[in-house]
Amino acid sequence: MSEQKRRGAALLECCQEIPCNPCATVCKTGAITKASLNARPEFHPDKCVGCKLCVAACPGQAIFLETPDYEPGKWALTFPYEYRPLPEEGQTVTAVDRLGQPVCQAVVAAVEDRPVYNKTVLVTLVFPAEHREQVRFMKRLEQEGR
Amino acid sequence: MRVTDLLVVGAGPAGLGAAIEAARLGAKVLLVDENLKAGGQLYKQIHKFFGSGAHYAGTRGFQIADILLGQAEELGVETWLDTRALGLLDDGTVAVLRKGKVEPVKAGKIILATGAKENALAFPGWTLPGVMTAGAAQTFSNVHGTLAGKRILMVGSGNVGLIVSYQLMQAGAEICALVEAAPQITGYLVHAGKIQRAGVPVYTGHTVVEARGTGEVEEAVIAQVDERFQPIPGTERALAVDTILLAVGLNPRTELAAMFRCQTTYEGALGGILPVHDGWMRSTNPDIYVCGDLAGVEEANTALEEGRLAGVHAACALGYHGEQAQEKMNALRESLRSLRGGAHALRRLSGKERVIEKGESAYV
Repeated sequence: MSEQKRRGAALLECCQEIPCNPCATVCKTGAITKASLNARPEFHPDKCVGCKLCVAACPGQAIFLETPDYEPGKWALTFPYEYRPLPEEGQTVTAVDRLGQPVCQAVVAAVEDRPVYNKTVLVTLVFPAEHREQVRFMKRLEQEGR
Repeated sequence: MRVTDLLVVGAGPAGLGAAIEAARLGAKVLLVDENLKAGGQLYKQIHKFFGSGAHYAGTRGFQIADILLGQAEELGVETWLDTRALGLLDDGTVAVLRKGKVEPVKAGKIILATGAKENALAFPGWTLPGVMTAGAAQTFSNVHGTLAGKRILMVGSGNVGLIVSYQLMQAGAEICALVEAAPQITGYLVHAGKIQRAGVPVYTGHTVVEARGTGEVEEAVIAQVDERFQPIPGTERALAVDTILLAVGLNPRTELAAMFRCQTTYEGALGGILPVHDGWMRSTNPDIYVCGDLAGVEEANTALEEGRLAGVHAACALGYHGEQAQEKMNALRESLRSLRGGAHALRRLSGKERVIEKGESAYV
Protein backbone atom coordinates (compact mmCIF):
# COMPACT_ATOMS: atom_id res chain seq x y z
CA MET A 1 0.00 0.00 0.00
CA SER A 2 1.41 3.37 -0.96
CA GLU A 3 1.95 6.03 1.66
CA GLN A 4 -0.61 8.28 0.01
CA LYS A 5 -3.23 5.59 -0.03
CA ARG A 6 -2.70 4.83 3.62
CA ARG A 7 -3.03 8.52 4.56
CA GLY A 8 -6.05 9.01 2.40
CA ALA A 9 -7.01 11.87 0.14
CA ALA A 10 -9.43 14.78 0.21
CA LEU A 11 -12.97 14.30 -1.03
CA LEU A 12 -14.59 17.58 -2.14
CA GLU A 13 -18.36 18.01 -2.12
CA CYS A 14 -18.47 21.74 -2.92
CA CYS A 15 -21.45 21.95 -5.24
CA GLN A 16 -22.12 25.64 -5.88
CA GLU A 17 -20.35 28.68 -7.27
CA ILE A 18 -19.83 30.77 -4.16
CA PRO A 19 -17.12 33.35 -3.39
CA CYS A 20 -14.83 31.29 -1.20
CA ASN A 21 -11.30 29.92 -1.38
CA PRO A 22 -9.78 28.89 1.97
CA CYS A 23 -9.40 25.31 0.66
CA ALA A 24 -7.02 26.44 -2.08
CA THR A 25 -5.32 28.95 0.24
CA VAL A 26 -4.44 26.43 2.96
CA CYS A 27 -3.36 23.64 0.58
CA LYS A 28 0.44 23.59 0.65
CA THR A 29 0.89 21.10 -2.19
CA GLY A 30 -1.33 22.58 -4.90
CA ALA A 31 -3.77 19.68 -4.72
CA ILE A 32 -6.72 22.09 -4.57
CA THR A 33 -6.86 25.04 -6.94
CA LYS A 34 -9.50 27.57 -7.90
CA ALA A 35 -9.66 29.23 -11.32
CA SER A 36 -11.41 32.22 -9.71
CA LEU A 37 -12.90 33.13 -6.32
CA ASN A 38 -16.31 31.88 -7.42
CA ALA A 39 -15.26 28.84 -9.44
CA ARG A 40 -15.76 25.43 -7.90
CA PRO A 41 -12.49 24.00 -6.58
CA GLU A 42 -10.47 21.62 -8.72
CA PHE A 43 -8.86 18.66 -7.05
CA HIS A 44 -5.59 17.12 -8.21
CA PRO A 45 -5.41 13.77 -6.38
CA ASP A 46 -1.80 13.04 -7.32
CA LYS A 47 -0.69 16.07 -5.28
CA CYS A 48 -2.77 15.40 -2.16
CA VAL A 49 -0.76 14.24 0.85
CA GLY A 50 -3.79 13.80 3.13
CA CYS A 51 -2.78 16.56 5.57
CA LYS A 52 -6.43 17.42 6.35
CA LEU A 53 -5.83 21.20 6.53
CA CYS A 54 -8.59 21.75 3.96
CA VAL A 55 -11.02 19.56 5.93
CA ALA A 56 -10.68 21.88 8.91
CA ALA A 57 -10.52 25.12 6.89
CA CYS A 58 -13.55 24.74 4.60
CA PRO A 59 -16.22 27.12 6.03
CA GLY A 60 -18.86 24.95 4.36
CA GLN A 61 -17.52 21.74 5.92
CA ALA A 62 -17.75 20.29 2.44
CA ILE A 63 -14.36 18.54 2.38
CA PHE A 64 -13.74 15.09 3.84
CA LEU A 65 -10.68 12.88 3.99
CA GLU A 66 -11.28 9.43 2.65
CA THR A 67 -8.91 6.55 3.43
CA PRO A 68 -9.70 3.48 1.33
CA ASP A 69 -8.71 0.12 2.78
CA TYR A 70 -7.88 1.63 6.14
CA GLU A 71 -8.12 -1.96 7.33
CA PRO A 72 -9.05 -4.95 5.21
CA GLY A 73 -12.66 -4.41 4.13
CA LYS A 74 -12.88 -1.12 6.04
CA TRP A 75 -12.99 2.47 4.92
CA ALA A 76 -12.11 5.54 6.99
CA LEU A 77 -13.68 8.99 6.69
CA THR A 78 -12.53 12.16 8.45
CA PHE A 79 -14.93 15.08 8.84
CA PRO A 80 -15.19 18.33 10.85
CA TYR A 81 -17.10 18.08 14.12
CA GLU A 82 -18.04 21.23 16.06
CA TYR A 83 -20.43 19.84 18.67
CA ARG A 84 -19.87 18.87 22.28
CA PRO A 85 -19.37 16.39 23.83
CA LEU A 86 -16.67 15.00 21.58
CA PRO A 87 -16.56 11.28 20.85
CA GLU A 88 -13.63 9.31 22.21
CA GLU A 89 -11.19 7.18 20.29
CA GLY A 90 -12.34 3.58 20.22
CA GLN A 91 -15.98 4.52 20.86
CA THR A 92 -18.66 2.93 18.70
CA VAL A 93 -21.01 5.51 17.17
CA THR A 94 -23.74 5.61 14.52
CA ALA A 95 -22.49 6.73 11.13
CA VAL A 96 -25.04 8.81 9.18
CA ASP A 97 -25.51 9.95 5.60
CA ARG A 98 -25.85 13.45 4.08
CA LEU A 99 -29.37 13.75 5.49
CA GLY A 100 -28.48 12.53 8.95
CA GLN A 101 -30.03 9.11 8.41
CA PRO A 102 -28.32 6.18 10.18
CA VAL A 103 -26.19 4.01 7.88
CA CYS A 104 -24.18 1.66 10.08
CA GLN A 105 -22.17 1.40 13.27
CA ALA A 106 -18.64 2.83 13.09
CA VAL A 107 -15.61 3.00 15.35
CA VAL A 108 -13.98 6.33 16.13
CA ALA A 109 -10.37 5.96 15.02
CA ALA A 110 -9.19 9.51 15.77
CA VAL A 111 -10.32 12.77 17.39
CA GLU A 112 -7.92 15.57 16.47
CA ASP A 113 -8.01 19.09 17.90
CA ARG A 114 -4.95 20.95 16.67
CA PRO A 115 -4.47 24.73 17.08
CA VAL A 116 -4.12 25.09 13.30
CA TYR A 117 -7.67 23.74 12.91
CA ASN A 118 -8.96 26.82 14.80
CA LYS A 119 -11.41 25.04 17.13
CA THR A 120 -12.75 22.66 14.49
CA VAL A 121 -12.23 19.09 15.68
CA LEU A 122 -11.61 16.39 13.08
CA VAL A 123 -13.22 13.01 13.73
CA THR A 124 -12.24 9.86 11.84
CA LEU A 125 -14.68 6.96 11.59
CA VAL A 126 -13.89 3.43 10.41
CA PHE A 127 -16.76 1.41 8.92
CA PRO A 128 -17.42 -1.38 6.39
CA ALA A 129 -16.24 -0.34 2.92
CA GLU A 130 -19.64 -1.06 1.36
CA HIS A 131 -21.02 2.11 3.04
CA ARG A 132 -18.37 4.46 1.66
CA GLU A 133 -20.81 6.27 -0.67
CA GLN A 134 -23.26 6.99 2.15
CA VAL A 135 -21.33 7.78 5.32
CA ARG A 136 -20.58 11.52 5.78
CA PHE A 137 -21.06 12.25 9.49
CA MET A 138 -21.99 10.69 12.83
CA LYS A 139 -25.07 10.88 14.97
CA ARG A 140 -24.40 13.65 17.46
CA LEU A 141 -23.83 12.59 21.05
CA GLU A 142 -26.35 13.71 23.67
CA GLN A 143 -25.39 16.67 25.81
CA GLU A 144 -25.68 15.95 29.49
CA GLY A 145 -28.23 17.95 31.44
CA ARG A 146 -30.01 19.33 28.39
CA MET B 1 -19.03 70.90 19.56
CA ARG B 2 -16.64 68.25 18.31
CA VAL B 3 -14.87 68.90 15.00
CA THR B 4 -13.43 66.03 13.00
CA ASP B 5 -12.49 65.21 9.42
CA LEU B 6 -14.68 62.15 9.14
CA LEU B 7 -17.61 60.87 11.16
CA VAL B 8 -18.45 57.20 10.71
CA VAL B 9 -21.81 56.04 12.04
CA GLY B 10 -21.91 52.32 12.84
CA ALA B 11 -18.95 50.15 13.89
CA GLY B 12 -19.84 46.92 12.13
CA PRO B 13 -17.59 45.55 9.37
CA ALA B 14 -18.49 48.39 6.95
CA GLY B 15 -17.95 51.20 9.47
CA LEU B 16 -14.74 49.64 10.78
CA GLY B 17 -13.42 49.17 7.23
CA ALA B 18 -14.22 52.81 6.45
CA ALA B 19 -12.64 54.15 9.65
CA ILE B 20 -9.47 52.07 9.21
CA GLU B 21 -8.83 53.08 5.60
CA ALA B 22 -9.54 56.78 6.16
CA ALA B 23 -7.31 56.85 9.24
CA ARG B 24 -4.57 55.04 7.33
CA LEU B 25 -4.52 57.94 4.86
CA GLY B 26 -4.21 60.43 7.71
CA ALA B 27 -7.79 61.58 8.24
CA LYS B 28 -8.99 62.29 11.77
CA VAL B 29 -11.79 59.80 12.29
CA LEU B 30 -14.57 59.66 14.87
CA LEU B 31 -16.45 56.34 14.90
CA VAL B 32 -19.74 56.13 16.81
CA ASP B 33 -21.89 53.11 17.57
CA GLU B 34 -25.03 52.69 19.67
CA ASN B 35 -23.90 49.35 21.07
CA LEU B 36 -21.71 48.75 24.11
CA LYS B 37 -19.19 46.91 21.97
CA ALA B 38 -17.89 47.62 18.46
CA GLY B 39 -17.88 44.94 15.76
CA GLY B 40 -21.56 44.94 14.81
CA GLN B 41 -22.84 41.46 14.12
CA LEU B 42 -19.31 40.03 13.77
CA TYR B 43 -19.09 39.12 17.48
CA LYS B 44 -22.16 36.90 17.12
CA GLN B 45 -20.59 34.94 14.27
CA ILE B 46 -18.81 31.94 15.73
CA HIS B 47 -18.53 30.12 12.39
CA LYS B 48 -15.71 30.30 9.87
CA PHE B 49 -16.31 32.86 7.13
CA PHE B 50 -16.56 32.48 3.39
CA GLY B 51 -14.73 34.82 1.08
CA SER B 52 -11.17 35.22 -0.04
CA GLY B 53 -8.41 33.60 2.01
CA ALA B 54 -6.31 36.64 1.09
CA HIS B 55 -8.61 38.55 3.44
CA TYR B 56 -10.28 36.80 6.34
CA ALA B 57 -12.03 33.73 4.90
CA GLY B 58 -11.67 30.66 7.08
CA THR B 59 -11.40 32.92 10.13
CA ARG B 60 -14.32 33.00 12.57
CA GLY B 61 -16.42 36.18 12.61
CA PHE B 62 -15.56 37.21 16.17
CA GLN B 63 -11.86 36.76 15.39
CA ILE B 64 -12.23 39.11 12.38
CA ALA B 65 -13.83 41.69 14.70
CA ASP B 66 -10.81 41.45 17.03
CA ILE B 67 -8.42 42.01 14.10
CA LEU B 68 -10.37 45.04 12.80
CA LEU B 69 -10.75 46.63 16.23
CA GLY B 70 -7.03 46.22 16.82
CA GLN B 71 -6.24 47.94 13.53
CA ALA B 72 -8.65 50.80 14.21
CA GLU B 73 -7.12 51.38 17.62
CA GLU B 74 -3.58 51.25 16.26
CA LEU B 75 -4.46 53.84 13.62
CA GLY B 76 -5.84 56.24 16.22
CA VAL B 77 -9.52 56.01 15.32
CA GLU B 78 -11.49 57.60 18.15
CA THR B 79 -14.42 55.35 19.03
CA TRP B 80 -17.49 56.38 21.00
CA LEU B 81 -19.62 53.43 22.05
CA ASP B 82 -23.09 53.52 23.62
CA THR B 83 -23.51 56.60 21.44
CA ARG B 84 -26.29 57.33 18.99
CA ALA B 85 -26.29 59.61 15.99
CA LEU B 86 -29.73 61.17 16.31
CA GLY B 87 -29.83 63.24 13.16
CA LEU B 88 -28.89 66.38 11.37
CA LEU B 89 -29.12 69.80 13.01
CA ASP B 90 -29.95 72.98 11.10
CA ASP B 91 -26.34 74.19 11.11
CA GLY B 92 -25.14 71.03 9.33
CA THR B 93 -23.73 69.34 12.40
CA VAL B 94 -24.76 65.88 13.50
CA ALA B 95 -26.54 65.50 16.83
CA VAL B 96 -24.86 62.71 18.76
CA LEU B 97 -26.28 61.40 22.04
CA ARG B 98 -23.50 60.34 24.37
CA LYS B 99 -23.54 59.83 28.14
CA GLY B 100 -27.02 61.34 28.35
CA LYS B 101 -26.04 64.52 26.54
CA VAL B 102 -26.43 65.64 22.97
CA GLU B 103 -23.15 66.71 21.46
CA PRO B 104 -22.99 68.32 18.01
CA VAL B 105 -20.32 66.85 15.73
CA LYS B 106 -19.05 68.82 12.76
CA ALA B 107 -17.44 66.61 10.14
CA GLY B 108 -16.08 67.29 6.67
CA LYS B 109 -17.51 64.01 5.42
CA ILE B 110 -19.87 61.48 6.96
CA ILE B 111 -19.97 57.75 6.28
CA LEU B 112 -23.19 56.00 7.21
CA ALA B 113 -22.84 52.30 7.99
CA THR B 114 -26.03 51.81 9.96
CA GLY B 115 -26.67 48.23 8.84
CA ALA B 116 -30.02 46.52 8.47
CA LYS B 117 -32.88 45.25 10.58
CA GLU B 118 -34.62 41.90 10.39
CA ASN B 119 -37.94 41.44 8.64
CA ALA B 120 -40.91 40.00 10.48
CA LEU B 121 -43.61 37.64 9.27
CA ALA B 122 -47.18 37.89 10.57
CA PHE B 123 -49.36 34.81 11.08
CA PRO B 124 -51.98 33.82 13.66
CA GLY B 125 -50.27 33.52 17.04
CA TRP B 126 -47.12 35.40 15.99
CA THR B 127 -47.32 37.69 19.02
CA LEU B 128 -46.98 34.74 21.43
CA PRO B 129 -43.79 34.69 23.50
CA GLY B 130 -41.47 32.25 21.75
CA VAL B 131 -41.79 33.82 18.31
CA MET B 132 -38.78 35.98 17.55
CA THR B 133 -36.27 36.73 14.81
CA ALA B 134 -33.31 34.44 14.20
CA GLY B 135 -30.96 37.32 14.96
CA ALA B 136 -32.56 37.85 18.37
CA ALA B 137 -32.04 34.18 19.25
CA GLN B 138 -28.45 34.44 18.01
CA THR B 139 -27.86 37.46 20.28
CA PHE B 140 -29.36 35.58 23.24
CA SER B 141 -27.16 32.58 22.57
CA ASN B 142 -23.85 34.00 21.39
CA VAL B 143 -23.73 37.26 23.36
CA HIS B 144 -25.68 36.46 26.52
CA GLY B 145 -25.13 32.69 26.72
CA THR B 146 -28.86 31.95 26.93
CA LEU B 147 -30.82 29.57 24.73
CA ALA B 148 -34.04 31.13 23.44
CA GLY B 149 -35.64 27.69 23.24
CA LYS B 150 -34.98 23.99 23.24
CA ARG B 151 -37.21 22.79 20.40
CA ILE B 152 -37.14 25.21 17.53
CA LEU B 153 -38.83 25.73 14.17
CA MET B 154 -36.67 27.87 11.87
CA VAL B 155 -38.48 29.81 9.12
CA GLY B 156 -36.31 30.69 6.12
CA SER B 157 -33.41 28.90 4.43
CA GLY B 158 -31.20 31.88 3.62
CA ASN B 159 -27.73 31.88 5.13
CA VAL B 160 -29.01 33.52 8.33
CA GLY B 161 -31.56 30.75 8.92
CA LEU B 162 -29.04 28.03 8.10
CA ILE B 163 -26.16 29.44 10.15
CA VAL B 164 -28.24 30.35 13.20
CA SER B 165 -29.77 26.84 13.14
CA TYR B 166 -26.29 25.35 13.19
CA GLN B 167 -25.13 27.62 16.02
CA LEU B 168 -28.18 26.91 18.17
CA MET B 169 -27.60 23.17 17.73
CA GLN B 170 -24.02 23.71 18.85
CA ALA B 171 -25.45 25.45 21.92
CA GLY B 172 -27.64 22.44 22.67
CA ALA B 173 -31.02 23.24 21.10
CA GLU B 174 -32.89 20.96 18.75
CA ILE B 175 -33.98 22.35 15.38
CA CYS B 176 -37.15 20.31 14.82
CA ALA B 177 -37.53 21.54 11.25
CA LEU B 178 -36.61 24.33 8.87
CA VAL B 179 -39.27 25.56 6.44
CA GLU B 180 -38.67 27.54 3.26
CA ALA B 181 -41.50 28.90 1.12
CA ALA B 182 -39.38 28.88 -2.06
CA PRO B 183 -39.14 25.60 -3.96
CA GLN B 184 -35.42 25.38 -3.17
CA ILE B 185 -32.96 26.23 -0.38
CA THR B 186 -32.01 29.88 -0.86
CA GLY B 187 -28.76 30.03 1.15
CA TYR B 188 -25.50 28.22 0.41
CA LEU B 189 -26.06 24.48 0.02
CA VAL B 190 -22.94 23.70 2.04
CA HIS B 191 -24.44 25.55 5.03
CA ALA B 192 -27.65 23.54 4.54
CA GLY B 193 -25.58 20.35 4.30
CA LYS B 194 -24.20 20.91 7.82
CA ILE B 195 -27.62 20.94 9.48
CA GLN B 196 -29.00 18.21 7.22
CA ARG B 197 -26.13 15.86 8.18
CA ALA B 198 -27.03 16.63 11.79
CA GLY B 199 -30.54 15.37 11.05
CA VAL B 200 -32.57 18.59 10.62
CA PRO B 201 -35.45 18.08 8.17
CA VAL B 202 -35.60 20.90 5.61
CA TYR B 203 -39.05 21.39 4.06
CA THR B 204 -38.95 23.55 0.93
CA GLY B 205 -42.27 24.77 -0.46
CA HIS B 206 -43.52 25.10 3.12
CA THR B 207 -44.25 27.95 5.49
CA VAL B 208 -45.46 28.50 9.03
CA VAL B 209 -49.19 29.24 9.19
CA GLU B 210 -49.90 29.38 12.91
CA ALA B 211 -48.32 29.47 16.35
CA ARG B 212 -50.42 27.83 19.05
CA GLY B 213 -50.12 27.76 22.80
CA THR B 214 -51.43 29.15 26.06
CA GLY B 215 -49.26 32.06 27.10
CA GLU B 216 -46.31 30.85 25.01
CA VAL B 217 -45.55 28.83 21.91
CA GLU B 218 -46.32 25.13 22.36
CA GLU B 219 -46.94 24.17 18.76
CA ALA B 220 -46.17 25.43 15.28
CA VAL B 221 -48.40 24.61 12.34
CA ILE B 222 -46.64 24.37 9.00
CA ALA B 223 -48.20 23.86 5.57
CA GLN B 224 -47.20 23.37 1.98
CA VAL B 225 -47.52 26.44 -0.27
CA ASP B 226 -48.56 26.75 -3.90
CA GLU B 227 -46.55 28.53 -6.60
CA ARG B 228 -47.94 31.87 -5.36
CA PHE B 229 -46.73 31.07 -1.83
CA GLN B 230 -50.28 30.57 -0.54
CA PRO B 231 -50.77 27.75 2.01
CA ILE B 232 -52.54 24.72 0.51
CA PRO B 233 -55.53 23.75 2.70
CA GLY B 234 -55.32 20.21 4.02
CA THR B 235 -51.52 20.09 4.11
CA GLU B 236 -51.21 21.53 7.64
CA ARG B 237 -49.07 19.68 10.13
CA ALA B 238 -48.43 20.52 13.81
CA LEU B 239 -44.93 20.37 15.29
CA ALA B 240 -44.31 20.38 19.04
CA VAL B 241 -41.91 23.32 19.47
CA ASP B 242 -41.34 25.99 22.10
CA THR B 243 -39.78 28.56 19.76
CA ILE B 244 -40.38 29.81 16.23
CA LEU B 245 -37.52 31.77 14.69
CA LEU B 246 -37.98 34.04 11.71
CA ALA B 247 -35.11 34.33 9.24
CA VAL B 248 -37.01 36.00 6.45
CA GLY B 249 -34.60 38.65 5.28
CA LEU B 250 -33.39 42.07 6.36
CA ASN B 251 -33.99 45.63 5.24
CA PRO B 252 -31.57 48.58 5.25
CA ARG B 253 -31.72 51.07 8.15
CA THR B 254 -32.18 54.17 6.03
CA GLU B 255 -33.54 56.66 8.61
CA LEU B 256 -30.36 58.72 8.94
CA ALA B 257 -29.64 58.61 5.22
CA ALA B 258 -33.15 59.91 4.52
CA MET B 259 -32.63 62.71 7.04
CA PHE B 260 -29.45 63.68 5.19
CA ARG B 261 -31.59 63.94 2.03
CA CYS B 262 -29.89 61.04 0.28
CA GLN B 263 -32.05 59.92 -2.62
CA THR B 264 -33.36 56.38 -2.19
CA THR B 265 -34.48 53.61 -4.53
CA TYR B 266 -36.05 50.14 -4.24
CA GLU B 267 -34.20 46.90 -4.94
CA GLY B 268 -35.92 43.76 -3.70
CA ALA B 269 -32.84 41.54 -3.95
CA LEU B 270 -30.91 44.03 -1.78
CA GLY B 271 -33.50 44.22 0.98
CA GLY B 272 -35.88 46.96 -0.21
CA ILE B 273 -35.51 50.73 0.05
CA LEU B 274 -31.88 51.88 0.15
CA PRO B 275 -29.90 55.06 -0.58
CA VAL B 276 -28.69 55.49 -4.13
CA HIS B 277 -24.88 55.58 -4.36
CA ASP B 278 -22.18 55.81 -7.01
CA GLY B 279 -19.32 53.37 -7.60
CA TRP B 280 -17.33 55.02 -4.78
CA MET B 281 -20.19 54.57 -2.27
CA ARG B 282 -21.06 58.29 -2.40
CA SER B 283 -24.76 59.06 -1.89
CA THR B 284 -26.55 61.77 -3.86
CA ASN B 285 -25.40 64.12 -1.09
CA PRO B 286 -21.68 64.58 -1.91
CA ASP B 287 -20.71 64.81 1.76
CA ILE B 288 -22.44 61.57 2.73
CA TYR B 289 -21.24 58.06 1.94
CA VAL B 290 -23.24 54.87 2.53
CA CYS B 291 -21.88 51.33 2.79
CA GLY B 292 -22.54 47.84 4.07
CA ASP B 293 -26.06 46.52 4.59
CA LEU B 294 -27.43 50.08 4.53
CA ALA B 295 -26.35 50.27 0.88
CA GLY B 296 -27.96 46.90 0.09
CA VAL B 297 -28.21 43.83 2.30
CA GLU B 298 -25.41 41.41 1.40
CA GLU B 299 -22.86 39.87 3.75
CA ALA B 300 -19.88 40.82 5.90
CA ASN B 301 -17.20 40.50 3.20
CA THR B 302 -18.90 42.91 0.82
CA ALA B 303 -19.76 45.23 3.73
CA LEU B 304 -16.11 45.40 4.75
CA GLU B 305 -14.91 46.09 1.19
CA GLU B 306 -17.60 48.73 0.60
CA GLY B 307 -16.61 50.39 3.86
CA ARG B 308 -12.93 50.41 2.89
CA LEU B 309 -13.82 51.92 -0.49
CA ALA B 310 -15.94 54.65 1.11
CA GLY B 311 -13.14 55.34 3.63
CA VAL B 312 -10.45 55.77 0.98
CA HIS B 313 -12.66 57.94 -1.25
CA ALA B 314 -13.80 60.15 1.61
CA ALA B 315 -10.22 60.63 2.82
CA CYS B 316 -9.12 61.63 -0.70
CA ALA B 317 -12.06 64.04 -0.96
CA LEU B 318 -10.89 65.60 2.32
CA GLY B 319 -7.44 66.16 0.82
CA TYR B 320 -5.62 63.14 2.26
CA HIS B 321 -4.28 61.75 -0.98
CA GLY B 322 -2.11 58.88 -0.01
CA GLU B 323 0.13 57.22 -2.53
CA GLN B 324 -1.67 54.49 -4.39
CA ALA B 325 -5.08 55.57 -3.12
CA GLN B 326 -6.48 55.28 -6.61
CA GLU B 327 -5.00 51.81 -7.10
CA LYS B 328 -6.43 50.78 -3.76
CA MET B 329 -9.91 51.95 -4.74
CA ASN B 330 -9.68 50.13 -8.07
CA ALA B 331 -8.58 46.96 -6.27
CA LEU B 332 -11.50 47.25 -3.84
CA ARG B 333 -13.97 47.65 -6.71
CA GLU B 334 -12.44 44.60 -8.36
CA SER B 335 -12.72 42.68 -5.10
CA LEU B 336 -16.40 43.63 -4.84
CA ARG B 337 -17.00 42.50 -8.41
CA SER B 338 -15.37 39.21 -7.55
CA LEU B 339 -17.39 38.71 -4.35
CA ARG B 340 -20.56 39.28 -6.40
CA GLY B 341 -19.32 37.21 -9.30
CA GLY B 342 -20.95 33.86 -8.56
CA ALA B 343 -24.20 32.48 -9.91
CA HIS B 344 -25.60 32.78 -6.39
CA ALA B 345 -25.15 36.58 -6.38
CA LEU B 346 -26.64 37.30 -9.80
CA ARG B 347 -29.75 39.17 -8.62
CA ARG B 348 -27.78 41.17 -6.06
CA LEU B 349 -25.20 42.08 -8.69
CA SER B 350 -27.74 43.40 -11.19
CA GLY B 351 -29.48 45.30 -8.37
CA LYS B 352 -26.19 46.92 -7.35
CA GLU B 353 -25.49 47.86 -10.95
CA ARG B 354 -28.83 49.66 -11.20
CA VAL B 355 -28.21 51.48 -7.89
CA ILE B 356 -24.76 52.60 -9.01
CA GLU B 357 -26.04 53.71 -12.41
CA LYS B 358 -28.57 55.96 -10.67
CA GLY B 359 -25.85 57.18 -8.32
CA GLU B 360 -23.43 58.00 -11.13
CA SER B 361 -26.09 59.98 -12.99
CA ALA B 362 -26.37 62.28 -9.95
CA TYR B 363 -22.78 63.40 -10.61
CA VAL B 364 -22.90 63.88 -14.40
